[in-house]
Amino acid sequence: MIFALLWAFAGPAPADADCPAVFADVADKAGLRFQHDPGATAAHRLPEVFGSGLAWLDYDNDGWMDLYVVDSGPLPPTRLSKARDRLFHNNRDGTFTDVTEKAGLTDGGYGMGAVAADYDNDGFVDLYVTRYRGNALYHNNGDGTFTDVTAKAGVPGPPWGTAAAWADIDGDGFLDLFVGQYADDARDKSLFCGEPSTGVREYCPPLLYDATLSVLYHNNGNGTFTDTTRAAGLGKALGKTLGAVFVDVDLDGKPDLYIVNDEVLNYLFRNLGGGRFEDITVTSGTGFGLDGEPQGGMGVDAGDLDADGLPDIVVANFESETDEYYRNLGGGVFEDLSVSSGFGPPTRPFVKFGLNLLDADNDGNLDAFVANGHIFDRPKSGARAQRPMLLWNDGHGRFREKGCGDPFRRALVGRGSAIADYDNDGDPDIAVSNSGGPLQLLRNDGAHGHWLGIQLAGTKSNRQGIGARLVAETPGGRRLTRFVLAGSSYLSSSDPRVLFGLGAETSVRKLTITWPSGIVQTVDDLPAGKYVRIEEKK
Amino acid sequence: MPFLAALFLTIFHRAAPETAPTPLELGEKLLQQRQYAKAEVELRRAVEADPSSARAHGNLALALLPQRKVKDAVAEGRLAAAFGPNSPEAHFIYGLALSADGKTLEAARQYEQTLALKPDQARPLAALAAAYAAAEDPRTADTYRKLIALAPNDPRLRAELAEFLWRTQKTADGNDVMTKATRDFPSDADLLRRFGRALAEQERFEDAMKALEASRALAALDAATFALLGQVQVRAGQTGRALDTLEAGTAAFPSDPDLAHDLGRLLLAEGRVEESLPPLEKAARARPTSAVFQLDLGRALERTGKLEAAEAAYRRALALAPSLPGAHYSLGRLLQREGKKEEADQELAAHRALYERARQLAADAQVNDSEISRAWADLYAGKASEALARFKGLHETPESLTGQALALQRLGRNAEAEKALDRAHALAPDDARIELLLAAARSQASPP
Repeated sequence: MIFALLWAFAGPAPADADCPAVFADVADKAGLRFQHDPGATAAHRLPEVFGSGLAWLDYDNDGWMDLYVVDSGPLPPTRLSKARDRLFHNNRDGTFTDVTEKAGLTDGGYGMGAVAADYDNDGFVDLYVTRYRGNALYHNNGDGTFTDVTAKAGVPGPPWGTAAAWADIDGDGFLDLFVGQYADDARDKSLFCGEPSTGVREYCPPLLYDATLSVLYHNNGNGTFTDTTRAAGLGKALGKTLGAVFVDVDLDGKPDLYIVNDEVLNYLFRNLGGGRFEDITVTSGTGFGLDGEPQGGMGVDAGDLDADGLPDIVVANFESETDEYYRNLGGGVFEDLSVSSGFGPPTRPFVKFGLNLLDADNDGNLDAFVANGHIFDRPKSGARAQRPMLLWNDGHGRFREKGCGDPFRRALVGRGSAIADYDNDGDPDIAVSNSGGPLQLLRNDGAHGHWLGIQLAGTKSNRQGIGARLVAETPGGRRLTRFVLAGSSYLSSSDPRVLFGLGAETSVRKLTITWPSGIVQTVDDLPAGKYVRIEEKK
Repeated sequence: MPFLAALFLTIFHRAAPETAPTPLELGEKLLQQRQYAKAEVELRRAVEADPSSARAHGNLALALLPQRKVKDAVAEGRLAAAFGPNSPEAHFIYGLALSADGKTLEAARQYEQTLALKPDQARPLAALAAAYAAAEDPRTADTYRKLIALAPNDPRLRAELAEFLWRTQKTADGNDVMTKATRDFPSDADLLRRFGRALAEQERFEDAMKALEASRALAALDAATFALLGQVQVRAGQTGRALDTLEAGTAAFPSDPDLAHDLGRLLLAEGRVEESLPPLEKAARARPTSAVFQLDLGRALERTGKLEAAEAAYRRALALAPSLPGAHYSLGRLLQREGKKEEADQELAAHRALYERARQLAADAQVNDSEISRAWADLYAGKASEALARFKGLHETPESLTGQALALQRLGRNAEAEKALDRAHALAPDDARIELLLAAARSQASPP
């Protein structure tokens, strides 16, 4: 009897009974103590609504993912502000240690997002941090410290930096950098949004601000960069960017660029090679929602949702809009399956920000995590704090919304989210930044399918293999395709290692890696249950 | 105007005399019987017999109003008030005639005189409150409150007060009034419906949903309220309830195309494509001139694989509304799907151009609103000079000129304020609020 009761208490909550995997927030237990400060004031300046992102990175190459969390703070920033970005070192035992000061990452500034990548191929992952005034590139010195090299590298970015992403756009082996900009807020002082008779302000809608250009930097390979925005063909792409992802949508070996904008059409730029892009937004069908209206776009991710080998694109949008699922038909053309797949309708009441594709139960199908939270202090409808969501992919083109675990019943003001297997147990965990709230680490628990982890080491390609495409063929005949990205979701970047969920299968018969250099490499017979490091063949 | 007959009884009716009736008595009798044309004839005789009779002129005005002889009624009302300066009834009738003629401000003055002569009368007070409300006079709320104290069992007065408060941006005050009213009159479906509509306009969809659902539980909804309830349920995230509501609405109003369209559109948005077709087809048949109905029908047809029919629907939508961006987009995407690249590109380019233009127009309008709000905020905060500079920097509109005038008044520059209000009045001659402000400015500017 007693044992029966014990089992009952140890089992999943009734609400999680049919969950393939269950998540638990272990941030506090793991020592990830961080409270985001939006610096909100009665002035209601627009940057205050955006919250912040975060980046997973293994900055000390110990094989365990560390976490960089962006803070915001008062606007304009003051020296007295306690708001500081934080770098947490993974202690390899499920806990983290705050090493911000030791790492020399103590700059202030009104932070927005962060993206990690080894831009100089020295074997140590660097960081680009976007801010409202004062973006920064931090070079990893390889000894646990970082140096601000923004000026030296020539990557100040736009005044209001938001989403950033790395990819080798011209195949020279060095990662280039895209830095999104939200808007031109020069008009801010002449505007008033709210109730004039009482002077009580609300945040102004994005439509009041002029769309602006984002910035593309070409990596010169010597520690410096050149602004090639116009030369690359991005000079007319006025937007209010909050999401960006480099992914090779047409499988021609060159990373294309998808830019997500708030209330402005999204852009898809096809990489023509040689650092040049072509705007294929209109013909691709990825610029607008189903009805041809622009959406309030926030986060973005790309991955093969339907196991056809092509990267599909998903976008998180504002409330009353559905999240978008653009299915890749090949040749740079997409169809909008947001409604018919069930991906979009459950998301309609929420204000969606972070959006990640992850195989949460390792069944081989990419599911989706969505972080939600309103932008207004007192939304006219609904609540500011909103629960996050999990959308489970049934592998047959349908999604089912089902939160699994207490974090999915807790309402916070969700913003950036990023995926990593921080405990190296073979399933994807989730870090979530909440505006004005605590950092969350959603540990993935429960019985899963088998898995295989791959860590790439580029030689001719960039050191992390960012931009690579990996196809795993299983003995049962499944083909799983994954893409290595640096920069996705909302103002965030995830673990660059690739996790293949294998379901009941216990090995990968053949793994094919298409490196950014164009080299195609195969590895046979990889048993499940471990991480494998694969170096690009020379 | 059936109330006039009742009014007549309370105002000028006297006990019937024993001798042969005079034209005045006959006219009053006919007025009581609502035989307005015949009453007019007799009352004109009465006026001829006694040109200084306030009673005759007043009753004649009452006979003229239901016949829509408003100018004549105003003239007779004016004479009634002139010959009966101490008659509250005469001033009230003159006020009614002025209200009918759209002279809200002048009407309000007559109602004020009525109430000065005979205080605490519900009908003149109601007319005064309505006149103040039309002019957005700051005394409106107090007048309504006084009226509500006189007639505490009339829920409509609460609704009128709340609607005035909402219209003048005192949203929270209006909501308080209605919250109390719905508590005091819990079984009044109309109050709940009006409150629900206002909450929906305030984008408080969950509260609006509760109010409208409560109204529905008390009384049958009209078609428009069914549609509104469906919309607020969707916005509140209650899609299943919205579908139930719209299905009930289409069952109750089977010939209402808007309800059928709303239902079909929601089913389409939920991915229930096959089910969406019948209501969308029905809506499009019932209103073939609606481009939006054709567009949504096309979308449903396309998603059910009926591409030819979908293309035809999109083309019908564009024939009805060539600048409908969504129709260009949907047609372009469909043509692309059918491999008609050149035409598809043209449609998609047309969509993008239309979208860019619409976005720019919307942005310009919002920027203008926000800049005006900034100027008002400065004015309310006592920064008259800053407010004046901001108002002057805006396009000359009735609102910016009114703002300029109020800022100038705060700065003691009354003559300039009057000029600004003159320009505002010229741009918006029917704006009662500007008329009121102008009258006030003139009375300040004129020498004692």
